[in-house]
Amino acid sequence: MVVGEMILETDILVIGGGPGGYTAAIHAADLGRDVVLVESRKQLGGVCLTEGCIPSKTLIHAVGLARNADDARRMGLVHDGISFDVDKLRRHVQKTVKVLSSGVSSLVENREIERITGHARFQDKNTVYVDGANTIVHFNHAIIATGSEINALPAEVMKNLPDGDSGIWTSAQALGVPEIPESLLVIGGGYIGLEIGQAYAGLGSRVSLVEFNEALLSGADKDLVRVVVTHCERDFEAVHTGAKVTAIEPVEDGFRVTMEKSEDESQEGFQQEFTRVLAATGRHPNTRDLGLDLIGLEPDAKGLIPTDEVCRTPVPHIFAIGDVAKGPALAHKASREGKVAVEVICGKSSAFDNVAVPAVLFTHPEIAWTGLTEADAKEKNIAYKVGKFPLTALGRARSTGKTDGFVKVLAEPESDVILGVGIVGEHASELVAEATLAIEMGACLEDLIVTIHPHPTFSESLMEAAEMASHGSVHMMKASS
Amino acid sequence: MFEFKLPDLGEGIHEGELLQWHVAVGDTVKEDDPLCEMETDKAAVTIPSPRAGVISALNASPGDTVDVGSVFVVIDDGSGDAAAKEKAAQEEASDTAPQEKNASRPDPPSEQRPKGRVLAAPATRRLAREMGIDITQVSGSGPGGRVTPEDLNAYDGADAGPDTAENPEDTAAEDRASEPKAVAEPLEVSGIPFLEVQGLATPDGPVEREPFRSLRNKVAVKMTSSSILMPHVAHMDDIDVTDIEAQRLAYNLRQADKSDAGREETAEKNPGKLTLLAFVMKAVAAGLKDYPMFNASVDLSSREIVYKKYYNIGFAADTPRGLMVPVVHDADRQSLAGVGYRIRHLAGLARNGEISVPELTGGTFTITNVGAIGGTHVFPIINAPESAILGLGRVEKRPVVVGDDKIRVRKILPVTLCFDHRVADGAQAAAFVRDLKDMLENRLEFMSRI
Ligand SMILES: Cc1cc2nc3c(=O)[nH]c(=O)nc-3n(C[C@H](O)[C@H](O)[C@H](O)COP(=O)(O)OP(=O)(O)OC[C@H]3O[C@@H](n4cnc5c(N)ncnc54)[C@H](O)[C@@H]3O)c2cc1C
Repeated sequence: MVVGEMILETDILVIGGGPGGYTAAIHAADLGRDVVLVESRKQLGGVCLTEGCIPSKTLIHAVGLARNADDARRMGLVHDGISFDVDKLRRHVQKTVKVLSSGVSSLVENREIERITGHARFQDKNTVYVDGANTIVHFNHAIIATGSEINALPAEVMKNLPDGDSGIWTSAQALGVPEIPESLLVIGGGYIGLEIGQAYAGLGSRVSLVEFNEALLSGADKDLVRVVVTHCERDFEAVHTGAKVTAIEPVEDGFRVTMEKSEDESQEGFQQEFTRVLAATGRHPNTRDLGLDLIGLEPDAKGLIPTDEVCRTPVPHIFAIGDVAKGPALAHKASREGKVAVEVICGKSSAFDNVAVPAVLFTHPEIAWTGLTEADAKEKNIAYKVGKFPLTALGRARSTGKTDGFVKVLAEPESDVILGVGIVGEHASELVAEATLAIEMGACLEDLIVTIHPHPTFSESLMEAAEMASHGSVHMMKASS
Repeated sequence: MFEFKLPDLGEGIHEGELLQWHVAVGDTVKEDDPLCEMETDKAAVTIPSPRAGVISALNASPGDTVDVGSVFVVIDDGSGDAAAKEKAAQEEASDTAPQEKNASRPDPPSEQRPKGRVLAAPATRRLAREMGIDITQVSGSGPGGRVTPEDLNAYDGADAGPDTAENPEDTAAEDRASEPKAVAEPLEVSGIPFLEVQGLATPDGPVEREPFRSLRNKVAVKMTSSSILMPHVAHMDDIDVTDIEAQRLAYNLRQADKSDAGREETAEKNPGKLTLLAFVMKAVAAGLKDYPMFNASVDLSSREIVYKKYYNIGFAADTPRGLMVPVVHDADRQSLAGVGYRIRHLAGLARNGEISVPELTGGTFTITNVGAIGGTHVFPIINAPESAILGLGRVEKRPVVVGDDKIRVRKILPVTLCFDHRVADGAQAAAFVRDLKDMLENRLEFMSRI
């Protein structure tokens, strides 16, 4: 024992204060348990709140306003062009994060949850040591919710850059809006790269994007992605798919980047200079520096901790949730798992038996899907029928000028049970909630069709798509037979 | 290839017994051709084919119990390709996969739900876990096979897991859940002193065994529960129906003339002959308004007596399938002739096995005249959750001492009112029967009340 070391005893220890961890801690306290929450950052809220969902969506919203103001010229709005005060924008994003994060802190304090700031590592199956707080916590149950962190670019690519601060932006830095660079290269065509890339394009940067795969947003159905790619091609200076960055060197006012088309290795790479470079090449679970080996837990090849349907690891009193566990790395999946783990610890019959985890991409326009995707159905050989409804046929979409996109509903051919919904277009992120409820409830097409959807709203598009899947929509031309 | 799942047969019905196939494997059927006869707890129904095509599998045999929602017929409708167009690519992909199923059944197309998908609302899934039920084993009665909380309750009772230990070779019985074991299970009536359930000793002579199925099983469950759970009291009386019988017979003669004139029978225009039951039913419907405790139910969960303000009178009908209780809805609001017509119409449907579920449900009071076959008084068991039942004996001529101490030959109807002593007392029963007696013995009383 080190001098001054604190020792705490608790029933439930939660490691990580992100959406998974803080939800678990609060829920456990509400169920009457003794809880300790360890988080290495000063703020609670995890990646989601401090450098992920919240700041990105705040920024994207602001950029969207500018875009709308631009579009609105067609509707008679008169202005001399829109521009941003970067300092104000940055402060607005920071303030939003701060308000929410202190909100989470007060919720935690309100439950008298013991909160420790520091980095936790397991010492044995019932003990962690919290580095930075010089504290030992003995626990009966633990919930690992340490989330994920960004993948660094390969050392090979980075070798010409200074050690320490290489000057390459991470998504967290980009979301701090330090400046509006003249030009920006986004490395990675996943949703984080696309969201931030489109945001900076909206702020006025000349944005290029490079993606190793042939397709952008590889998890989503191609027809959904197509709509967004069309916008990217218009708003970005260049989109290089099937290409990779092989070297980055510092130059005055920025970076010189070498890229290669991956299909033919022989070809000499091409070079281009950018004021800024953003690395958005994926994330990996924070399971490397946790002392998992000391408790006999071995992460899989991707670094994920194995769990069962109640989020329990092979060490029965230890649970893992959120980005460190299997499944989509999304905040709402983390928080649901947090509740499940706690309920199971408290002896309730709970399970992560969700049929659908909605995915939302705040691209322009938004993409969202839930349940079965068409790509999945094809791969797993699941029979389905599909109904698509284009937003061009929707009154509300016309009235707002947001006619890009469509809604599609996948259903079982015989029973009409809804299997999945894919949406691209304005408000996709909101519409997908109803679709998810429908799937969880085991709804059939008719359930959506006979439910009255308010007019004129975007929500009608889901009902119309269900009609298309069933027998055709009133608002579509009949196919000639 | 179309997998036909046993469709919803009516509210609260989760299974049916297959009586007979009308088709065989290899037969060509048109849409709506009858496939089979099914018997449910409530009625026999003909299941029509939903598709035209060739029967490629029949997954049950007569006598089997089939769960609603389970695939029991596979029809090759040739249009597996309709859906297949979209998934031609996938099928190519699946060709490369090793063949999983061997021939015994036609290979179902790729119609399975995404793996592990349970069709039930999240709250229902939680309930299943709380009840310790593996929800994937429960067949859903909702649209598309959705599992409802009711299905879970029913599963707990009737489908409490197949008990095949007794005859392991009988594979057909393996997926049947509701065979006689529901009654064979040790009775859980703990806490009742002296109550003991005896096993059956080895019989001393030749026997034939018959499982409790469908209707028989239903009757057994209902009667056991009702007679054990309700304190029954019987109140008996004799009703002099000489006058009403004379008038009834005269009326029927006139009706016979009309029918001979070739007029079609309808409820309004030419309702046909009246039975004594119609008179009794009208009198009961009228009397119940003054004695609501006999038109009531006990709500055990809230410990309340539920008095019903509607008068749906059921009557026991002996049918080739067994006892059924068709219900004359709103008997109080129909004319005497209307009630008479409904009784004959429903009895006919029940006899021919054509009666539908709504015609067998919703009763608030039951009359049984099984006694009419023979015997004097009957002692009927209350048709739960109702609170009373009226049993009619056989009308017989008897010597009766009348007003001036003379003995006259009168037609006498013996009646028994059995009631639930929790909701009513003997004095009320006596008064109610007295009231019925007044109406049926006194023509003016009857006319002024109904
Ligand atoms: C730019 C960006 C945008 C995103 N947008 C969305 C979106 O729109 N919608 C969405 O659903 N998801 C989004 N995500 C993903 C989302 O942020 C994550 O899925 C979510 O934060 C995962 O939650 P978590 O609780 O598992 O972990 P995290 O939020 O990662 O939290 C883990 C916490 O644990 C702490 N920690 C780690 N190790 C230790 C340790 N040993 N001891 C103590 N503390 C430790 C970390 O400091 C961190 O605060 C986005 C992510 C990024 C990067």
